Amino acid sequence: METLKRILLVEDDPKDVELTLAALGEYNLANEIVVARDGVEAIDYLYRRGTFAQRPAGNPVVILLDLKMPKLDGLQVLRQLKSDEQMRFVPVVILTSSHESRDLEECYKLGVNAYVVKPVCFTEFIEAVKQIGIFWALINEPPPGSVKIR
Amino acid sequence: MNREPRKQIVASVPHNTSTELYQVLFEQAADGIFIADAQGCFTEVNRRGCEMLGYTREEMLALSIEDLIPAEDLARDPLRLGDFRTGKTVLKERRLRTKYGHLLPVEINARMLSGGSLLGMVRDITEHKRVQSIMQARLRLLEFASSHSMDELLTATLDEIEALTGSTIGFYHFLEADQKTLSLQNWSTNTLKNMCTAEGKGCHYDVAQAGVWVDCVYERRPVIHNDYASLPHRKGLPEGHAPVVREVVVPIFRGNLIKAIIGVGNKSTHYNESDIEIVSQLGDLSWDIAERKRAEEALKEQYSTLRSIIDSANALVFSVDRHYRYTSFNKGHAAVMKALYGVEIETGHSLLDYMTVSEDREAARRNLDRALAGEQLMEEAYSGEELRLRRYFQVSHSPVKSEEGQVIGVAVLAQDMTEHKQAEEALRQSEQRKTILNQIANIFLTVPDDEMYAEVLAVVLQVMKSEFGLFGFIGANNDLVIPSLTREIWNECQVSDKSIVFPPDTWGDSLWGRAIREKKTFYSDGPFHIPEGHIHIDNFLTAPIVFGNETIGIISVANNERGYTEENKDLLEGIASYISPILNARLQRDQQEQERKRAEEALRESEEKFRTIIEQSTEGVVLIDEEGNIVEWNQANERMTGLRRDEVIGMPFWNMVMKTAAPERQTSQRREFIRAAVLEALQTGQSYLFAAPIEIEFYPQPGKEKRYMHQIIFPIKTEKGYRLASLTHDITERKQVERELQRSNNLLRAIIEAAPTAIIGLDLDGNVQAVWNPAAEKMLGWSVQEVMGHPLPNVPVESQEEFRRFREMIRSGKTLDDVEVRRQRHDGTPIDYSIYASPLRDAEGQITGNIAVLVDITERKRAEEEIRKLNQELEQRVADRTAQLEAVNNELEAFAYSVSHDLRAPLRHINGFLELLQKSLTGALGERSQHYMDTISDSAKRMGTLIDDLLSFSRMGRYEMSKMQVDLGGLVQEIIQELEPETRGRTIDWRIADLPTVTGDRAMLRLALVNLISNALKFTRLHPQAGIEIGCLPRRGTETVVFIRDNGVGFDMAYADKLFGVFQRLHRADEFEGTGIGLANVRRIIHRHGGRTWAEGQVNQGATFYISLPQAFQET
Repeated sequence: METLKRILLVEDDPKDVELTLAALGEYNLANEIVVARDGVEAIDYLYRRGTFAQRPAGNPVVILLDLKMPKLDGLQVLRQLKSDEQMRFVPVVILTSSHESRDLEECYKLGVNAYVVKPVCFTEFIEAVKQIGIFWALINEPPPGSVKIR
Repeated sequence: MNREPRKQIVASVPHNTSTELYQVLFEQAADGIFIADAQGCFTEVNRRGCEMLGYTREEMLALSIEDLIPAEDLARDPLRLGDFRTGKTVLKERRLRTKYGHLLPVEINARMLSGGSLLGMVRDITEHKRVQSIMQARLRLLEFASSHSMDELLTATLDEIEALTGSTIGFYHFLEADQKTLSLQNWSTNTLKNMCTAEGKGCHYDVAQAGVWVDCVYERRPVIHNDYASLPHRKGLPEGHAPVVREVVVPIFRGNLIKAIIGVGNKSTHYNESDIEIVSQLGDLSWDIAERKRAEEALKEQYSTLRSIIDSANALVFSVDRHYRYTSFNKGHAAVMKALYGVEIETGHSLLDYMTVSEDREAARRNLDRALAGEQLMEEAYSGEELRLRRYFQVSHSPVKSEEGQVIGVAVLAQDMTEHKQAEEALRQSEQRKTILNQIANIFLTVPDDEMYAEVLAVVLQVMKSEFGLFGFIGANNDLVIPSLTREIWNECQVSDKSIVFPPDTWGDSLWGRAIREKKTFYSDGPFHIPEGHIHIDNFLTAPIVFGNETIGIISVANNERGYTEENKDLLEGIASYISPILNARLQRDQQEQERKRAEEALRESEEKFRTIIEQSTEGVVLIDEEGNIVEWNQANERMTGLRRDEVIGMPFWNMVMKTAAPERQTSQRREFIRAAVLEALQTGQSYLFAAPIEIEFYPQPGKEKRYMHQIIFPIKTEKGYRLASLTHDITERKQVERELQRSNNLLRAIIEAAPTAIIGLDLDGNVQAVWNPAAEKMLGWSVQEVMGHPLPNVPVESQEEFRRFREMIRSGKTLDDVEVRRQRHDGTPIDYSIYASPLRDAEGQITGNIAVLVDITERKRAEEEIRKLNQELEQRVADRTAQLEAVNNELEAFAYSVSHDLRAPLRHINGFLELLQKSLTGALGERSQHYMDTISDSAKRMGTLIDDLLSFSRMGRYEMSKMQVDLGGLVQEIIQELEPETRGRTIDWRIADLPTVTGDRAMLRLALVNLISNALKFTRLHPQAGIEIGCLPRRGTETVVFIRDNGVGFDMAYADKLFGVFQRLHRADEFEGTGIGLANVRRIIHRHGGRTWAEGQVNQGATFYISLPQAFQET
């Protein structure tokens, strides 16, 4: 918890976490990932509260956010971040199983940066997660205040 | 000017012969020679040049060309040295300023020398100029003299001399032959204007009294006094005389005699010989001209003396040349010509041109021609244009002969004999007048009708030598009536609304109108304001005919060729006053005659009117004379009784009554009774018969049905006693109508009494009137006796306002139609009834109240209330059900949502970990194990697809539709293009008909068509020659039916109803892939559009899928 990670993955399902890490691992991005198990934990991490109070300052370069989570769900997290002057520039990518159009509309209304439906096929899933990781962590120029590449 | 004098060129020239020659020529030249450098500064000048301008050579060499030319000349004509060209000579006249400021006219011959310096040869042309000026002045004076008097000429001469000599004063004296007496003839303009106000013009005085200028007389030569003030013998100048500084005085000689002295003075510089020359030359000339002028003027004077003698003679004297042009005339003649023709005659103009009366002119020409032929003659002649001013002359013509004996003109002497002639004429006219008046009187007596006017006028016209005229009288309404206008004159007149009657407002300011109004005679020779088409009028004389104090007529004449004279006027007035009493008597008689005729006519008309009224009357009119016989029987009676007029006239009244009586009453007893009654009425003028209209039964002849009449009989008093008049009219129809009315009333009443609905009558105040039927009694509980004439008793307090409003509506003529109200019965229970009410009107159409039908609807109201309650319950139930459905729907939605999230995740995990497992076991798996793993993976994928399809199907039900116009044809084309990748490599025969535009949700309809067309493609895949037809069935009702037909594998109709079910498939997965959701979606979409889906097919024979869409769908 003490080292600074560049990608925040918010995902309650450990299987999905595992698969996601497996996907990112191929590009040596796994070490860049910190996982929050639900929305509350994600908020604590970002605002350096609770268990994350001692973590070094700096925002992740991207947040990969699941929608359906216990306690605080993805939409609530997104709403909170995008309404905060400090946080609203941090890129958020929704990573979800749902194609429900109302989820899609709501996310974009709140200002999400990307919306990705997890493909059922693993190969496609890995491909998708890799693309996301490469784009946001390596290609995209993050906003000021983000974690620098070591 | 302070420049160093240039080195003298002359000094530097080498001494050789040519140089010497040049020098001599240069110095001795008659012209000034100037050499200047390119800037115009003089570098050399010869002696003559210095002399001309008064400078020394040194002074000259300090000057430039521009210094010599006056500034004003330079401004007008600038010096352009640059214009000079080498070898080219420029000749120019200029003025140069001398050292003393004098302006010297010169001619300059200049050229540029090869070194760039300028050579100027300058010639003094003062003399030349002076001579030229004098010549010009002489010309001007000569010209001036031709059109001006001698006085003006002398002044002009002095002005010219002054200008030429530069003097400011000038005088001109004549010297008499004695050479001692002077007369001042004139000052110059300038002298008079600016300097000299002294008297003396035309005065004669002795030479001895004159000033020093008279020296020229003594010395008999011109004198110059350049220093006047210092002259020892000068005399004081008279007061107002211009001061004299210096003068030059020149005598003008003719032979040995000095004729005149001309002097000018006050030149700014000294006078010299050239001034004397100017004065002499111009003086001489002016004297010559003056002499001639003086002779002319003397002749003129002589002539005018003669003229005045001729002019003062009483006779008219004039002479003309061979072209009838006046050579002379006296005042008397001029005055007569002015009086006669209004002209101012002048010599040189033709006498004949002045004479505007052609007759006069021709007579004059004849006489003059005779005289010009050498005859001496004496004639009498009338002359003059305006008739009353015509004069009568005795004229003698004498030829005028030249010295050679040729006739060169005519001298005419005329004596005015008019008065004499007039006296003769007056005598003649009075004789004529008598004759005319007799003629007129005869016409009045012998011509009885209006022709008289024309005949009288004819006499007057003849006497007055007039072309036309009019004679009329003032008739009724003060109109002027002109019966005399009816002859030729009437036909000639082209005025559009011509008439012989002129009401006073048409008179305007016409002369005859004024004559009538002002009772005066008027004459005019125009111009006349005459309407278009009117006979042209040259002159017009009109006299009113006055009787007593009134104008009773007018007589006018027009167009006498020579105009009318005073005598004509007298004559017309005489005729008018002679006619006056006769015309008056005639008019009186006419008027009486007319009145009598009018009275007769009126009587006749009134009788006729009366007869017409009786005849046309619809009342039968019978008149009975004093004996009881019928004397009048009109058509109405004939119609009514069938008895003709000729049958009954003269018949005793009672006999007639018997003829029309009922057969049973035709008794002698009855006749006697009537006879007695009638005779009594006739004798006494009193009868019970007169009391009132009597209704009588009668039988029209012959033998008709009984009829009824009303009869009124009344007496008419006559000299012999009484007559009776009977007025009757048939009332049979009216009686029938009354009966009919009675019957229908009864019928109506019966209906009302028997009607099952309440019928009531109300007056405007809401009181019951006329009707309250048994049904009303039964329905409301009040008996007719209780309510009749009383306010309607069943209106509860809360409905009074409504009741009042209904009454207002009725009052304004409106009806109430099925108006539901709640009222009370007699027992206090409420009753609902519907009112149908109409206004009730009296015979005049006034609304007096209304009749209302009241329909009891209490029962209906109760039923309605029940239905309303049931409806309310039903609505509640529907709302409850809807809420339940919504809840279920929400649950379903939540379910679908969670399926979407949660059901897919495990599948993905299965897949993901299988994949990871496979990786970690690479190469270690046996073929069988590999097959198992593939099967697991396929199953998971299929599961995913199923879930996705299921979700999409569920979404289809929740999707919010939007209505729009959808072009199915376009849509199909678009889809086929999109499916193109799937058809690649296949032969497909597409047959697509024109498809209609329908109303629906484009996206949904698109999905449905995609499904159907994809299906068609899929199930024809095995067919080598696939055929797909898309078309539209003929319109049935409001439904549009589109079909998609293929020649694919088809299906067994036994399973047709399963086709559109969710996940229903008729083929094995290994034959044709698919989840079985496509057609379910199609059905759902079409159902939501309010349409239907069905399919027809046969195994291996292809299939046809139909979708129907209603015209305007209601979303379901």
